[in-house]
Amino acid sequence: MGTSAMLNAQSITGTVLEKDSAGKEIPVPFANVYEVGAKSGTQANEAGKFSFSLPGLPAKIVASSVGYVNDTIQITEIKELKIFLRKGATIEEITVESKRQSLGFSTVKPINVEMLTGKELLKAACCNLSESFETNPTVNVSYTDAITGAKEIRMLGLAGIYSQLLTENIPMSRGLASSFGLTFIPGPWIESIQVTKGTGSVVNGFESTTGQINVELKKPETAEKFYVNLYEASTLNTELNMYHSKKLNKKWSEMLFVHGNLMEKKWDDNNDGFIDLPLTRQLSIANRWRYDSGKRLESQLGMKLLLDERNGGQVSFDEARDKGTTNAFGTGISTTRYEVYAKAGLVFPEKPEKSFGSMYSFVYHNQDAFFGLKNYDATQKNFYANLIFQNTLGNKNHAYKTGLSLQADLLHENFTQNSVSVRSDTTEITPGIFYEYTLNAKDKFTAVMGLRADYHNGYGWFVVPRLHAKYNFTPDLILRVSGGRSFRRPHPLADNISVLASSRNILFTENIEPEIAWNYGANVTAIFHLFGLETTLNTDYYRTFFVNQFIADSYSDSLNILFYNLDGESFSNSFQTTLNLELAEGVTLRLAYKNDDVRSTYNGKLQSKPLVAMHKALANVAWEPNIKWKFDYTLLWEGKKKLAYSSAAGNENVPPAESPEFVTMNAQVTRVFKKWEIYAGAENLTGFTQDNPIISPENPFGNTFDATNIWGPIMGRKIYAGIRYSIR
Amino acid sequence: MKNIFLFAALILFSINLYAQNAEVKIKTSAICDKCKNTIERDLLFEKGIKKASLDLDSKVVTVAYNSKKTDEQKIRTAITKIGYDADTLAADSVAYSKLPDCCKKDVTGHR
Repeated sequence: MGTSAMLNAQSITGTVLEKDSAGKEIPVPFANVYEVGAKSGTQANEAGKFSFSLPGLPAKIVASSVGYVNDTIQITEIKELKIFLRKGATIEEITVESKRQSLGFSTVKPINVEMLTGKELLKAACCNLSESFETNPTVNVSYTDAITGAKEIRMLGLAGIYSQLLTENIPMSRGLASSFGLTFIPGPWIESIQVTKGTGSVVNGFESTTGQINVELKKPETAEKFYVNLYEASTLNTELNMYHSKKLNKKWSEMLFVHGNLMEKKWDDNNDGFIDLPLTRQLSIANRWRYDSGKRLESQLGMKLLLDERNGGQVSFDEARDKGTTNAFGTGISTTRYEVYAKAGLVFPEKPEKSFGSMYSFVYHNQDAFFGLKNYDATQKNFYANLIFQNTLGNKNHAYKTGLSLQADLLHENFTQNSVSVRSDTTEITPGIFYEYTLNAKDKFTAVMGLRADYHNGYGWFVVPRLHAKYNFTPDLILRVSGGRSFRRPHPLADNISVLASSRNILFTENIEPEIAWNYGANVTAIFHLFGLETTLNTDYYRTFFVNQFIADSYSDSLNILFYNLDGESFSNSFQTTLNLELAEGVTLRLAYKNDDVRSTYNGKLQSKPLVAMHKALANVAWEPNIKWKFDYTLLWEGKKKLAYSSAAGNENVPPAESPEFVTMNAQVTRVFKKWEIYAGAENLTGFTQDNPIISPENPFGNTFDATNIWGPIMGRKIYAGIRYSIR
Repeated sequence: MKNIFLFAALILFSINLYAQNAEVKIKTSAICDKCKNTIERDLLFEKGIKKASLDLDSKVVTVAYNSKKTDEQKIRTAITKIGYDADTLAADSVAYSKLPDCCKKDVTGHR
């Protein structure tokens, strides 16, 4: 900071207040008050009074307090301030964010959360949740096979099934939905995404080994009145998104979403006889309602319907003629899914820290799939309920959440390979109880200690302890640590549906036991100013190790994929460092490096997990010269990955080969008008593709066919363009 | 990569070189957060305007602009066309009628 700024330092005083229902002004105690950019700030006292010095005027200051909506005010002259806060929404987790960059690292929460706002989400114009992470280094997305278009996320080096995917804090992507759940949430419906690294809160359940991804959809009370987005890509993939929101009266508001996508062109650019991208048809409709009594009761209701079909395989495949024969190889997955959910919350206007929340959801998910001569048909019905009561113990420094939850699943599966069908019906009922205590010591130290116990009808009791702690050395230097245990019941076929895209058979060598894992790690966030421009450096290291894990072994047997329980060691050590810096006003640069060391014991030998790159790096530059133009460019580098197929190709003595390292690039331009936006961009700009993504494509019914060894892009450069129109 | 930075730096530099920076404070008829967002966003689409921030307590919008490209009167007119009063200029009635209910002046009991 220069001397001129020091000379101009001004002392500012004021009071943080709220108006009660009678319009009377009452103080809000202990609110945080700080300048935007957090160069200076303070905490108000019990009577809402605060005083601190500003480096100069004009300045923007923010007042925030848990349970209230933040208020930002511009200060142009020194006077006694009165800042009024309004009570915030209480059903959702309250997000107190001091900064609103497009990729915000929270300095307030004890949990390591990255917030992806709408701005970040627009960087990937297409299409669904899986693309939302294209510019995000924490969550990696890759195709799992060359045929179905299923995308898998990885956090901390481990498959997406180990992170918990929530839609507005309700677990929505479990069991059957784990393979394609990401593609079931259209991008334009999303308001923001919170990515929690490391073990999650006990409030959301016993899963979430490596992290949580919570998706907040657009809200009827704040979304645009009307929105439409039309997208077209050079692959002839067409997408349409629409929604409208309406305030019906003072208490009710409503919102309707529609999404459709269509891709019917058979591309075979690599001439292997197989189409490079699956043909897809998806229709998805959602409707949500919100009720706010303005007093104590808030409620939300919602429903969603999804129809999804995807087909892949040989270009010559004709489903009516060839399904169930060896004329040609084809795959088809058709999904029907309904979701209904309700949330109800009671708030206590006289005590904002106290609330009672409840959420309920019912999901019906049906999936019929065939891969050549293999069939997998399954239906899952899930009921979920979570009741949460939160309050403080004495004062705001001690808070707790406690409650009860229930997960109930009915799963019917029918699996056919080599003309043998196996039917299995599973009923799982898991009631649970949890308690989470939060200690907040002078905003320097925060600790969250959680414990939950669940009773599973098949496996009995299991206990999940979790700990999160945060220490602020200064407001701009923060250390976080976390650790916890997690439990997960694997669904071998649903979790690994892509392994069916190979000639190998599935061989269960024993009964599959529940997965138990521990995860712990630390994170340091440093915010500093380089040449007066804000820079964030975020570095973390997490380790996950499994007490028991379900293993899908593609190393040990050339004719089969072996399904068994871990016998030995299995772990993932993940290091990541991300630098976000503002190069100049309107120009931001993000650089990230990631190192994932993921190993499991396969058939007695500790080996690297196949298809996971140990080294990865990402660079993203965004330039917004003014409100009218946005430019974005991303470069992604992935290091070598272990492949598992050499033994499958019949050379059992040859050690598994490695894939080469490669670089891909994406770029996008957006032109913004008052109501319109036009965007155009390219994915995989250089058109890099993996050679021979499918092994033995000429003989898909022979015993060396394998489409699961995917380490790089299958499709070359994709150009796209689209429009958005909105009425605010 | 390097070229992109140089290019970006060059453009930013040239913008600064030719800009004639000025600032004006205009009293508006904004009422709520929605009004604030609308005014702040829509003003940025006007020629020559670089920054706009509205303080709801005083209803004053502070506009930073390039005096070679626009002037105070044009900015006031732009505000009236969004549907709000600007100092002594009254809001454009057509634009005003299109505002959401909470942004209309005759609604009482708000904020």
